[in-house]
Amino acid sequence: MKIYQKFCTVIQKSKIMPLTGLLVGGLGLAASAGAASAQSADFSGKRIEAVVPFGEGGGADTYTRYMARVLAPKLPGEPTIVIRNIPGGGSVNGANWFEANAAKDGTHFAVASTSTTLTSTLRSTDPNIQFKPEGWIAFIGSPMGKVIYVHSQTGIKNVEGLKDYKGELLMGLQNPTGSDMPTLLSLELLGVNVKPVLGTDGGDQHLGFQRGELTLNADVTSAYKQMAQPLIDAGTAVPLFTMGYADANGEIVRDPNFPDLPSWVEAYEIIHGKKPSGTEYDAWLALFHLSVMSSKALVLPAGTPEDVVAAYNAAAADLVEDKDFKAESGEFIGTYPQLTGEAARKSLVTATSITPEARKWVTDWLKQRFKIDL
Amino acid sequence: MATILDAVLPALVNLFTFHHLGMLLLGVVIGLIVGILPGLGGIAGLSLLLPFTFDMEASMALAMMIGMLAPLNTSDTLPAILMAIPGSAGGQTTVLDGFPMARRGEAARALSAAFTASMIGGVFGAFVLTFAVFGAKSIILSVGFGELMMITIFALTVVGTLTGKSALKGIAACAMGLLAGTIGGAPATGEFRMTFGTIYLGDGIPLVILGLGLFALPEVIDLLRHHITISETGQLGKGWMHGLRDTIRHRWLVLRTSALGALIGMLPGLGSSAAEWITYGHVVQTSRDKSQFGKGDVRGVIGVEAANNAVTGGSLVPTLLFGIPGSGSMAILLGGFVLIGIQPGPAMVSSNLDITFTIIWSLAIANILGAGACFLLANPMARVTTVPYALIAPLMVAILFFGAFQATRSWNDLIALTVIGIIGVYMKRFGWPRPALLIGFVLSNGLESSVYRAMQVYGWSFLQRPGVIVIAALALLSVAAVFWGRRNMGAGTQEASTGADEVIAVRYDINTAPPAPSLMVRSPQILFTLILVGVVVMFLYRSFQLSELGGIFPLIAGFASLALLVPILGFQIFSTKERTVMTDHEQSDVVTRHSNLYFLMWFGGLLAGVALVGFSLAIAGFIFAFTTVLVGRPLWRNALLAGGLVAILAVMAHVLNLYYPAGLLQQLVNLPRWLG
Repeated sequence: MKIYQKFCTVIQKSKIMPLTGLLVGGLGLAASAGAASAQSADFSGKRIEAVVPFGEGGGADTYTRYMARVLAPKLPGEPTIVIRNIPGGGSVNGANWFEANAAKDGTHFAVASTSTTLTSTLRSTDPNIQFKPEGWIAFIGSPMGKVIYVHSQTGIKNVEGLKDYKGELLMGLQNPTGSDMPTLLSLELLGVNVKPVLGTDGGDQHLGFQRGELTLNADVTSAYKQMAQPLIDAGTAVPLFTMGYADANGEIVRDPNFPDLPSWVEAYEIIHGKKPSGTEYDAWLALFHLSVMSSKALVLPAGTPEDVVAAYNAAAADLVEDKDFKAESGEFIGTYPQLTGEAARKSLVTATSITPEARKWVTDWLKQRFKIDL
Repeated sequence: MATILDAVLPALVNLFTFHHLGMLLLGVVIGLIVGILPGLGGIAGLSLLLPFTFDMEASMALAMMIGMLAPLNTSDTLPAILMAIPGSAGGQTTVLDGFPMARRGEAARALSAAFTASMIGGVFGAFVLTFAVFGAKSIILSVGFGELMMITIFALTVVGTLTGKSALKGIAACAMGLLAGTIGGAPATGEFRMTFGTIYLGDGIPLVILGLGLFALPEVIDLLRHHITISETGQLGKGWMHGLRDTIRHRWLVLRTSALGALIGMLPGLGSSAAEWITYGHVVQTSRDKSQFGKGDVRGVIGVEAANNAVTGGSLVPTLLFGIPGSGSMAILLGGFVLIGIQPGPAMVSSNLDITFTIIWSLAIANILGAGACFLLANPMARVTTVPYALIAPLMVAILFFGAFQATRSWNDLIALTVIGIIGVYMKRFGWPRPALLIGFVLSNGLESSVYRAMQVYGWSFLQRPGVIVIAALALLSVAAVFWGRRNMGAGTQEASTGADEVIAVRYDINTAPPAPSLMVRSPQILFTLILVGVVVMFLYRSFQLSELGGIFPLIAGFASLALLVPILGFQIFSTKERTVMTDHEQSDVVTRHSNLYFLMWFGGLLAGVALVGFSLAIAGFIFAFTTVLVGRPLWRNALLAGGLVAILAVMAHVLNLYYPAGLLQQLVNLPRWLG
């Protein structure tokens, strides 16, 4: 597959006439995948819909709008990509729609973000949830790291200081099953005495932190640079650690955007004196992959034929090598290496396949900590 | 200071170059259109513009986006005043006094007063923004979780002024509004409350649908039953200068409400809908003669219109200074900022000062342009009030259904609109104040989460914070003013005017009251109250099954509702004398050709039609059938109306990538998208 992707990239870059490119591309596919279909996907004159299971505005929507714009010229036939927002039920509505109705000829793709995948992981028995993200075919995956920082009034300077801190740290939390839940769980596993202030959304978390009413906060990398960096420069906030980043072998290493900050795994070792292990580590790993490595992905529906998937994979591979994309995309997707093709697909599968024991561990934790029965 | 002046004028000069002005105008035009169409608003407008901003120079993209946002609250006044359709979530308050004015044949006066006030409010908002970007940071940071909670409670006391004829019914409606607002995901625990297993209710009842269902749908039916044209005199009225003079006469009111709007806009979490209700309450509270509010008092229109345009300027403050959006459209604007490479934050008042001033100037100029365009539009549009209503009504129904469908773009939106519309029709008939319900609904979520936050961070000690004490004192004053005002009120009468008794209380002397009508005659309103009791009891029953934290707020709101509903029911059943809680407009009504039920059946038929042949075709059939039955020939005119609307729907489907609800037909045959 990799050779085929490169092949396509070369063809598209060399600006051979579209028709020739198409023919050669088709041959390439037949040769590499050995698929029954000899015809390659072509989207000329097509209108492709990118399904966003949220209303307009917000992270997933902005991300998809940006990606749709830069992806369109990379797809064979340069189709028009329009956004279709299907809000409702905290992304359940749109995800269900995508599972049931998405065309499998490449004219539909969707954005899968942490809220969607986390919902299906936690509420696997809810009859309203009729989508299976583990079957979706990701063709581009955008990891997004997370930094945890405290207010300087706590006097905490680093992870060691966190270990010795006797008081209670106040942290805003949307709700116990929302997309910021993995952050809380990570802190509790470290043994930090955190008190979540429930019903606090992102904006209030920042304002509350700036007012000193909240003493701990977490930001994804892109927001961190914009919102938290000025506070750190002003001495109001102190960064402690990042959630980390999974390298090619699946090892949790330091976040490439913050090489000076320890990862959560290192923080665990500093505080507990040993490496994390067992079911609780499995649970953490699953949530880590959900919220960091597969923070956002663009996916095709299950059952999409190989030639269409190949066309999307090639477009994605082409896109991430694009000079303009490299230069401007940081603001939208963070400066992380983007996953494409098989790597993106694998990452989403890893993120969405939690073991039954680990899932039980998480739901038990929610039950015991918040009396929420899922 | 020198650096500021260095940025002010170049930004203005730059804006007056051909390209910038063109972009600004384009934004204004789009803003006007999406403002007029109900259900579409800043969110839809900005998503339409975003794809074009990618490759634009930052200042041009800004001119376009701000140009779009600024006139939204100006143009949504047109359907609100002329047709009682709140064009967006805002505009609901404008209906209260604006529409009765149109009914009196004073549409022109109401519109010109509204647009002048809008313009002043908008420019004032831009003015406030100019200073606020430098000084507001400390203000916003001094308003903590405790203060925010107290401000929400203060806003709730505003309802004391807007209870309608019967205070008991008003407060009950407000409590039920709070209860209705708890439907959906609980702010603290994320549990789904009262969703009855549906995904649709998981995000709560969409505010737009509540507004359309409670206000617009009952008004459509009422007009169909009683009137030939919207304007009772059949005249448009020559009120242009009059409206202008109204605004000038009430200039201090305009400035006061502009300031209030800008201030509320600045505080994240309350939103523009809450801002309008608070302003309206303030206008009523500070007016000496309250008797005309809800019946067409021009001050109600002026105050709210000035405030809602000022809100935009105010809500830009947290967006620009902290990168924290105060509303849905601000969230998209923030996305737009990122797309064109602007980082909101402290830099907006230092190195990016030119951008800030481009925004401020764009806001001011767009407000002036928007109001000017509305002046031009208003005259032809006001003619709607003199056209036979049965011709307009089916088009209005089409617009209502279209607007409701924009909420989540699902079939359930149409069902929700119909159900809420039915509730609205009977609330209106039995004198239940709909504004009070809406105020409760609008503030419900904010109140619940702010109480949680304040209690979790401070416990009870938040009551010792000076800011909290000051706002609490204001809230108490506001409540006291209500009682004081009630004592000095003129005696009211049981009048059968439309909705007028839903805003202002009347004093009622029980000793001189006439005897109550017979139990038989009272039975419809008693039945309606019983249904309300039943719904509240069901809510309570389900609330007990929730976790402690998720259930406490609906339990409190539910028991409060019940505590108020029981005495109302008691009076309605047992009182031998007529009381303010007893209202049934059908008793005193003149005989009409058709009943409420007759028109509700038409809407039911429309829904069934949509289920069969999809939205576009069903609407076309509905318009044709309705006009033919109720107005008559010529058939070609009726067909033209139907065809024209489908054409407009088709164009919008393409431009905005909209889908319409599909029916059985679409499952069998593959039709073009705009027919689906």
